[in-house]
Amino acid sequence: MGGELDGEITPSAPPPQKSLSEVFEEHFPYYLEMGMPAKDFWEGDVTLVKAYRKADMLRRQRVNHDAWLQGMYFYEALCDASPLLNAFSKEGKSFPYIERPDAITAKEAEEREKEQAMIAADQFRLYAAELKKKRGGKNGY
Amino acid sequence: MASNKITITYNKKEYTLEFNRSTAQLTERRGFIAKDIEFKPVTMVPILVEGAFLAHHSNLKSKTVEEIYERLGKKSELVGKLLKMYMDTVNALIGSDEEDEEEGTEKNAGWEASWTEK
Repeated sequence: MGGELDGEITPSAPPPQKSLSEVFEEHFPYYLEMGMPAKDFWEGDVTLVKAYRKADMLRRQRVNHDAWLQGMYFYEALCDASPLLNAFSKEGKSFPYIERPDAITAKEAEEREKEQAMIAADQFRLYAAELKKKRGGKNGY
Repeated sequence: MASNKITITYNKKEYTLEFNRSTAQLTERRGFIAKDIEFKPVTMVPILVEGAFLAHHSNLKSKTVEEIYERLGKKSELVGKLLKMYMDTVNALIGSDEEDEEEGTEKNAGWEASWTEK
């Protein structure tokens, strides 16, 4: 017909279809990298790869979160040290680095809150006792 | 995890038909082409059926496999299931994450054939 000479659009040939073996060989290294044993890939349940993919996704999410958390600590540390970086600062003293890591579970956060409340109560008691001492027990103290 | 197996009983012996990637590869090397099954069933079906026995009964003779297949009923249904099992070896690899999540809610159940001997 001479399609090209006539100015007609000739559909391009479809890409050659891959054989099953080629697809397996192509995917095999990815699953090895995910930690899947070769025996499981070739001889195990064929649907096992889905669990490996999901586990890999969870692992990547955790790594991403860890990197974010580390960045946050780094940022906090930089902020704490920032007075030292300012040559004209009158303070000339950095803030101390946080004593312990941030709470990451709800239970941990609740415990920290209780702890903080107890510390605040103790401080108030001390303050009240000092005030009482200063005033010599007057005004109801 | 969804299990893709077919259990058949022949001469009081239980046979499990399953495909894994290794046996699917062997089946392909023996000349099986999934898209040709419609046009060349006489050539393709025996290769597929024999391939399904490889995972659990690799020492079974071709003649025995042929005998078992000949005595089974609902052949077209069986071949359809075997073809799906064969294709699952590759489909599981290329499924997207969304599909994986959808399948998480799927009821997992083994599939047992109810083929009766003639």
